[in-house]
Amino acid sequence: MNMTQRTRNTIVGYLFLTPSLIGYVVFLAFPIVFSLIISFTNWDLISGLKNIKFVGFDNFIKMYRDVNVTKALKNNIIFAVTTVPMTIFIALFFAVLLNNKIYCKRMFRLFYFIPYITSITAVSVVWLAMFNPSSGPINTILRSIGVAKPPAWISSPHTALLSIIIVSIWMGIGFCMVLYLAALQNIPVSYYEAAELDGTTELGKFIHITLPLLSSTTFMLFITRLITSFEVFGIISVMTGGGPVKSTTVLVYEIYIQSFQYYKFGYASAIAWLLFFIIFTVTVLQWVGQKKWVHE
Amino acid sequence: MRYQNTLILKKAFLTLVIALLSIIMLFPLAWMLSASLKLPTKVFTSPIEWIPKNPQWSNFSFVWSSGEVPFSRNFLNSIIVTVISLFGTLIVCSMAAYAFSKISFKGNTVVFLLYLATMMIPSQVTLVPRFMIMRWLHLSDTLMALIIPSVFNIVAMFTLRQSFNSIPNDILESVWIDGAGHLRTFTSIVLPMSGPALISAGILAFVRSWNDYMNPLIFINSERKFTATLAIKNYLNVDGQPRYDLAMTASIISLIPIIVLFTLVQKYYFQGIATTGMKE
Repeated sequence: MNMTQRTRNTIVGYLFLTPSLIGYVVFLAFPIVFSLIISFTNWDLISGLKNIKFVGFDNFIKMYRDVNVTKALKNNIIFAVTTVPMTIFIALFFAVLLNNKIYCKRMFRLFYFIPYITSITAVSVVWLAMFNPSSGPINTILRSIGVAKPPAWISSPHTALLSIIIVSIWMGIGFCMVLYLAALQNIPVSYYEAAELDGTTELGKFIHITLPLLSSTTFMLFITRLITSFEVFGIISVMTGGGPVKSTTVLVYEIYIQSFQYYKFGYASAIAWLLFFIIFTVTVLQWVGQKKWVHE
Repeated sequence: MRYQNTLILKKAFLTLVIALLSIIMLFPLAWMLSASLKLPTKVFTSPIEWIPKNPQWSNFSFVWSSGEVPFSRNFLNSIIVTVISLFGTLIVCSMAAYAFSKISFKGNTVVFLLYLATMMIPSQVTLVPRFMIMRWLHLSDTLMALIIPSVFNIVAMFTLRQSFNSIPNDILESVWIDGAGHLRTFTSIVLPMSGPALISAGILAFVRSWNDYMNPLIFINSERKFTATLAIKNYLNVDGQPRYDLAMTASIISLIPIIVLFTLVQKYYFQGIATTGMKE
């Protein structure tokens, strides 16, 4: 045994890494490179790999003119800028409420959290029923309190996206709330006691102590929720199929349609890279911006 | 005494507020439960009949065992996929986490950063290539297509590495001096000391597999191999008609394992997502 400790460690280290390295190469690294390459080709499943042709930036130019993609992008942006702040705001409100001394705290925490761990299909089918325009529970209640013409929700192109936004907020609250609860428990009680001695009001304590000390959690939530909201797919796939008249289509839905209905693999991959580019930009912008408002 | 009364009053009042808000949050789920016990003609009634007069318990046995592909088959598929993914994830990711955390070797940091870098890339980017790879490997339309890729879970690896980092190296070094190798320290010291981290990574993996929608949608074609999550959708079109009663029944059945899991181990899960598991 003349091997140095260092060489031996390297061999052992890579032995420990082997299973994950195989997975990494086969299901992550290779697909990423592959996807980037085919986004510059006209590849579709029907004509096969043999007839693959490089088309330069054609897919990206086509995307720019494709009304479905621009519509999807617009919907994605509307969806993100409404869902994310609303979810985080409501979650913060719930977390602050739950952080008080109350009865059955753990039970309520689980109650608020259940929508988040319910599968996307179960959520979608129950909300399909909720939003049923003629006889769904929401419109039944609206009519009983005197709303003569309640909205048609997912059946109308004017309210379909709003309906999807409501469902997403409802689903996301629990997750954000739990993170806020954990962060709230880390704020030393002495801060509040000191503020009380100075005669600070409840609202003052919230604005000057709670909010700044939660800012790093808020920041993390903004980043992760924005990414998640650009990747929204399941609810739309089950509830609306992107309709009516494309009013709820989003980028991932277009990627799905192009890949597995039209088998336009090259074009679909190009849209996927657009999605990556957007997510990447948004994340970088937030990292840059965080210095201005995140309290360390 | 007066002060204490105000405190109790405040506590009761806040509990009431929270209870009222949770009614709004639980409204769809309560409706789901109620509809799962109704006849199809009684699902939509005005006013809402919260407690069905003739609870149709037979909905459950019907969904569970009738039809061309009974829901029990899909449920079993979900159990198979989830359990194997769960243990696979824990084995593969804890091994990698151990290498990153406790073995100093050439390329350690580089490989770790390469792993982390892919977290930024949305899974939709790799959708088409993964679809092709599954075809080339003849794994399309098998449960293995769902199990194998889910085992490489960068978030779990990252979480476990954090946890292993908190185990002081001195403890391990004393064992190494006795001539034991990394495999020994890994299995007999590091793993037993990381119970809570393994449990919370395990729950995250469980929920992720159980509720996964996009992968089954793309990789699975035959209804016999659908997971429970995917199969719920079938009840929206039973001979051309949506059967909300059955869809709700299937949804309730698919929720049971998750609810049971959470009432048992919610402590670990909430610790898990509160510390490092920021991404679902």
